[in-house]
Amino acid sequence: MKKGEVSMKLKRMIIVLVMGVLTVSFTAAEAQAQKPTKAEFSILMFGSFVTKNDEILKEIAKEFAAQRGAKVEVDFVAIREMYPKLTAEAESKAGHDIVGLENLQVSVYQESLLSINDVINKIQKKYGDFAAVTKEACYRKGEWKALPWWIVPFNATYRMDYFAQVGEKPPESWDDLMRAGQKLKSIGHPIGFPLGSCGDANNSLYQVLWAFGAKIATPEGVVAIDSKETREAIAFVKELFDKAMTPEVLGWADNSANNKFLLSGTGSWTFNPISIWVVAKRDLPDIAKQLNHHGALSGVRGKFGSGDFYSFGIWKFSPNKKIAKDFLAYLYEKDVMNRYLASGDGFNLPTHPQFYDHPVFQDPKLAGLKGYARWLHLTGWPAAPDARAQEVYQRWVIPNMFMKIISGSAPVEKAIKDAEKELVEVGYRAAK
Amino acid sequence: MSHQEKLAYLMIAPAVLMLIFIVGYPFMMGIYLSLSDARVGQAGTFVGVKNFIEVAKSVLFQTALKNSILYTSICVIVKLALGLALALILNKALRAKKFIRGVILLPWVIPIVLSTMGWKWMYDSTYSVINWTLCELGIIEEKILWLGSPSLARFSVILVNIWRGTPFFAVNLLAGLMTIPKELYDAAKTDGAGTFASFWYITLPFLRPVLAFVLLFSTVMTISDFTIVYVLTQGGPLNSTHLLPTLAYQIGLITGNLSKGAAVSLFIFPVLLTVVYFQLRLMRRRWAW
Repeated sequence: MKKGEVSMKLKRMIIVLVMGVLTVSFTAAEAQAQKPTKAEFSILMFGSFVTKNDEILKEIAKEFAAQRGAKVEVDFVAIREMYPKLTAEAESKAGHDIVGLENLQVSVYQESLLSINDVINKIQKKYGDFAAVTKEACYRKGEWKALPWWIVPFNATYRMDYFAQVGEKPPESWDDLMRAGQKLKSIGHPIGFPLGSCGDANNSLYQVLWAFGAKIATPEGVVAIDSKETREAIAFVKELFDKAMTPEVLGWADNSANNKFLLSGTGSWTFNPISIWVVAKRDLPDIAKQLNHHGALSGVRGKFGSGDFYSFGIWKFSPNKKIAKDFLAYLYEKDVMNRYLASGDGFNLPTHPQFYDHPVFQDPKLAGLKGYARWLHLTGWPAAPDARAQEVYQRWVIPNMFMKIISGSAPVEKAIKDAEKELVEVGYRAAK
Repeated sequence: MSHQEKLAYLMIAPAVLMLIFIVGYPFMMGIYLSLSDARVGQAGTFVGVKNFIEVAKSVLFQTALKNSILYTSICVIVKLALGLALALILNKALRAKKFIRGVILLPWVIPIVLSTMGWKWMYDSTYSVINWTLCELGIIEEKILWLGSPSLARFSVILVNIWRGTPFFAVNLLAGLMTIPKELYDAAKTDGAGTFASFWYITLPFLRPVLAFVLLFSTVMTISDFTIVYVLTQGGPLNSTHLLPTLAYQIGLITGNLSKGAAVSLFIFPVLLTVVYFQLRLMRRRWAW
């Protein structure tokens, strides 16, 4: 065969191959398009600490879909993976219909989230108003952008036996904690909460700031961290660290460190949801027997709690808005919500007072958590719950401020000024 | 154009198209985002170099930039020194040479997240095996907070990068060493050259092309390192381990400020481009052989 004939034959082969692929693809697409379509929707949720939550959510979704003759897909990703995943979906305007949201993510993605005023109104007509904190998390510019779902409270977890050993009851105020903490440290079982670059540090330290009346910014967006109240909160935490905490807190670089502190048997108290107790019940039953929980601590300016707030939003670009909204409303059917809360074994707290008295919270070890939502604020409060507050949270502005002072890297004035500078960089207005 | 040339272009077309879509498009998108005020879900408008100016003024960015330069310099220099030493040792006649050569590759081959998680456990403030060992040996009395102070955290993160990256240097330099004719060393020995002289006048000149390539590759990979810091410290404590990639991720993806995140990640591009350009020129002119 001559050279010219070979290349002509090759050209023909390539053309036939490409045409073949195109024909098959087109035919398959046509066949798919002509199939009778079933209603469908999809959910993206982060995996819960309690795996039964995920199983029950899937079950609930499938039951709802079966009732409607629809198809549903429920996908779970690790919570840290939610950020890039949500950004990718919001930017590409493609992906799931319903997405799980944590804390101020509603603010980050608010322009891409559908208003669900009708869903919320339906629920509130049935049960009354949601807890006040739900508006911080889910309400933007006159619209409900997400369905309040559940809270993981930053209550305290403590060792009953160690407290009994030093003759102390579980603390109700920060002063109680200071007094008890000193005694506990003297018997080799100090208290501790993280001060480093992790979510637990934010959740712990904001409670102290609020208890002393300190804040990062005013509701009008003016920086307010440089204040007498902030200095009082700093002085308190410094004293608590020196007299009652383990120095190891300086090395706690993630959210699991304080859990390990208590599970090791060394620690006597920390701020943490009930996950420590959940793990202890499974792996260390002797320690589990001695663990208990109490709610928010009161300070000079009142009782304040923190936690992680979880909600469900619907993307504006979802092609299945109606069924997605119906599903969100379905989640608040009494038996559905009751089943979901029961699956968490007390890990998930309800955001609506209607469910505060769920049987799962009758466990004496969870009594202190009942109605925690009434003390709860999102980090950044009383500043507006917007993307700036989210950036302050993620830049660890408050933990860094405390860490600098407590580790001795910077004096109080410099640490406060540095925090102030960062708040201005993030977008708050400088105080005059 | 001949038929063969046409066929050649047709064959490389899929690879070029893939490069355009997977590398070129995201890169151009990054430039576009960095010149706008886009946030997640909001297209944004053209703002010129405003993001670059604001980012450059940010204390956090300045810290991340210093950290990145420090991290890259120390890691690359130490990996080079250790990698070269390891390659020289492995080039000698050793028992179980093949086995040892295989084992030294493990840090580089194990998925980075997995190996970094292992280091995280070793650095743990409560259960650190390093602290336990040092305590048992009586070397320390109090636990070392490996991730607790800025200087120790930097050391810890750099150590993981060096542990992971040294095999890459070692294996490439070993390959380079194996191409050096043995007769040169014999001749040098005959002429009375010592170990150092042999290394300086024979080994190093022959290794230069490989060294240049490995240094270039490692510099680019180290300055864009993300996983080690993300898994170990998330940039803490006190932003002491924040690198440009972790900062870009934090600003762009976590807080939704896509434009500033893109500006942060593009900042190092002109510097790297200059380094790559001069290094490639040097390799072509002086060391082509």
